[in-house]
Amino acid sequence: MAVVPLLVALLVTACGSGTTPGAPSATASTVGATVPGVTGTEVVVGSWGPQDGPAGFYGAIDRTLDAYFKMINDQGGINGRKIRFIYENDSYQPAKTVAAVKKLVEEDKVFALCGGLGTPNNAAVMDYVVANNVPHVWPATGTTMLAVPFKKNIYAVQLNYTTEATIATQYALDQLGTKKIAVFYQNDAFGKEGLDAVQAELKKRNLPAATAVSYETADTNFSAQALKLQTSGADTVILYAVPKPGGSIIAEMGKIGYAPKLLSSSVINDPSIFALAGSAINGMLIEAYLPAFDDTSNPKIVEYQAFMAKYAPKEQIGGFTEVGYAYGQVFIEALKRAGKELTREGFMANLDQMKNFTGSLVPSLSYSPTDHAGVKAAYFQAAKDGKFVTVTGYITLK
Amino acid sequence: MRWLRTRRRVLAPYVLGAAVLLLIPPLLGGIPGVAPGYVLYLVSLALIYAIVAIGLGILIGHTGQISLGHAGFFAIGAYTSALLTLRLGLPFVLALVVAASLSAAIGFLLGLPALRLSGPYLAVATLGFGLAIPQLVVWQGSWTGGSSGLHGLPPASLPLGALTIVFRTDQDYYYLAAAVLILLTIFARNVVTSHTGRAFIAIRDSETAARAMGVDLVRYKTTAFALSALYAGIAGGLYAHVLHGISPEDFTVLLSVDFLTMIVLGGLGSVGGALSGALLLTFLQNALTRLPVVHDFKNLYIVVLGAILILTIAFLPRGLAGVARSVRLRWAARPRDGASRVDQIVELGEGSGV
Repeated sequence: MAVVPLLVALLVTACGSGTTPGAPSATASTVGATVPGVTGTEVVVGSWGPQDGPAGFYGAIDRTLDAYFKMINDQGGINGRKIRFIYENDSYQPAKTVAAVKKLVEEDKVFALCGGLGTPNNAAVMDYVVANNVPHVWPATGTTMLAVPFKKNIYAVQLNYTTEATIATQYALDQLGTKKIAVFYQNDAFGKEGLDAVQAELKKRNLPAATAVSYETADTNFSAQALKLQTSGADTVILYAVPKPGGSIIAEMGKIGYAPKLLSSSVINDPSIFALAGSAINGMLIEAYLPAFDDTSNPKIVEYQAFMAKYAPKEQIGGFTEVGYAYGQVFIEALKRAGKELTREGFMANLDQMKNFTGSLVPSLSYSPTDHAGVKAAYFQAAKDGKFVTVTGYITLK
Repeated sequence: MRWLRTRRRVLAPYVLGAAVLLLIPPLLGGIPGVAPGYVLYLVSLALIYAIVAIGLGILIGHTGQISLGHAGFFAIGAYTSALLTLRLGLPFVLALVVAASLSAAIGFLLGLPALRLSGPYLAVATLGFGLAIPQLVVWQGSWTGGSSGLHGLPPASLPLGALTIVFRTDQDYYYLAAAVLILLTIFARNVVTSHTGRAFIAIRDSETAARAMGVDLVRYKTTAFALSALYAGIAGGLYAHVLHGISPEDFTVLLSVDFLTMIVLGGLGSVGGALSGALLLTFLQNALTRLPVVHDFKNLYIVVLGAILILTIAFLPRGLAGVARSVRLRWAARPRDGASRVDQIVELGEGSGV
């Protein structure tokens, strides 16, 4: 039993340390003190995301962002400071995300975060990021949790799933003459947020609730769900699904001769969808908030493609590199506005004043000291012969 | 407290281990450029994984029963402890006890099919268990938090007589994990050297022979499963509180594979091996990601890790524990007093335990 005194010693030490400033919040910027990650010639920015594992394809976002900051540094930096960008690989595992963010904040002493990826990952570090008051611009997730309730230092950009689904519902009811809606959704936080928003909009209008049909990420056969959707008698189906199950359900509906109007979350936007869904997908409307990455009639897209050719030639022109590029544009604008005397408080105060900023791929971006939800407008594209073509202008919530 | 008793002769490693663990935080504070909180968080994770590895080592290394589903028990411990403290406001210690007991009970139940299954069949059955747990969590999303998980857990606390210790910083949790690990290491050493441990080893070496000797297979196989699930459950409860939150993404099948890798790397059939394997793998996984990116190959570290594992299996089939053992034997067998080397090896081998 001689180990017991040792254990007590361990625990008593733990107790004693409770009062010491173990939490890094003590190093947060205060007047007169040095600002973390900022010197006269450099500002340190951090991010995280998977570079390997099942979600490794998201890694292109951080790599593109890194290339974007290289371009800015080549052009001389911002306000005399070059950007040192550190992005950590968390393999999409929350425990590693926590480690990555602790390293970025406590060891690398980043000034701000930009583009930290994933819903479970952001959820795992949210309290820590808020407690340490590290600005996080554009977390890479559409979950509403980061913006609602309001968090002073987290600036969401991406159109969140609640707004997206509400726009789809309003558009169906008001423009497409929809009488009865069914929702096909992924049984997780993403899918349920979409479903809840559809139901909320219907309830607001005193309409009967939509028929909800769910799937699990592991499902491979969707014939039962297709039948359920058909027997619901809905004339419109809204999809909150990722490409593979989304494409499969559309194909199944086509097989049984059920042809409702289809509307989908932007999440489904992947070239593989056309082969999976077959001809039944034609006419499906899909929401988007950034301009199409292959629309070379748009000068902003021409600029993006030229950047890719020069700074990230190994990465593909596509949705992931497009958002990575856009993260860079928004972050750099925020850094410019913060001015020469760079502090976290100043950075956030200036970003709070951003109104209808149109200088990035994001069509229009505004913040206020009480609203950090980001994009609230989307447009529709329609599936046509293996491509998505733009069919509406930007639509905002009613 | 019989199970936590240690003989004076084998006390030295624990005193040394505890002293090292106690000294790490102040030493870290003295190294410039190192953030103690971040490092201690990583070490805490390693210590928690070591608890799972020790339990899994009893099951695989000592009893010869494979499990590819220990992330499932880890998840059960984590979710039970998180839900009880967050939703019902139960004290941390009580929640941890319930989490450990529930995990052990489910481990006992999973031990029942193991009576009929062995080798690859048992591997697939346990794999299925490990895969199912996160799915059940998502399915029961209304109370488990679904795929977004549970967050904002209250800080762990421990009533110690009149004094209540509240764990807040990374350093506090590090000490908590270290204390639990030391207790559970002693407990595991005592189990494997006891009558029960000898029954485990008999089952591993030959089920038929064990039965012929009167070892009750039902009893000992289910005990081994329950015991290793108990370890994973306790570790899960600690994990949830160190992270202040959990989600199903924390408990993928890859984690089960990591646990298996830890005990093979450390050396099967050795408590110290499981412990050191867990520490080494967690260290390698974190240290190797710092390798420079060569020719845009961002994932070079995975290849390097794979190579280290292959080389370990090829050249150190008994893992780190095997190396430690042969060093000890060589040292004891150094020529002295004219006694023959063989006599000394025999003498030492007999008492060296497990």
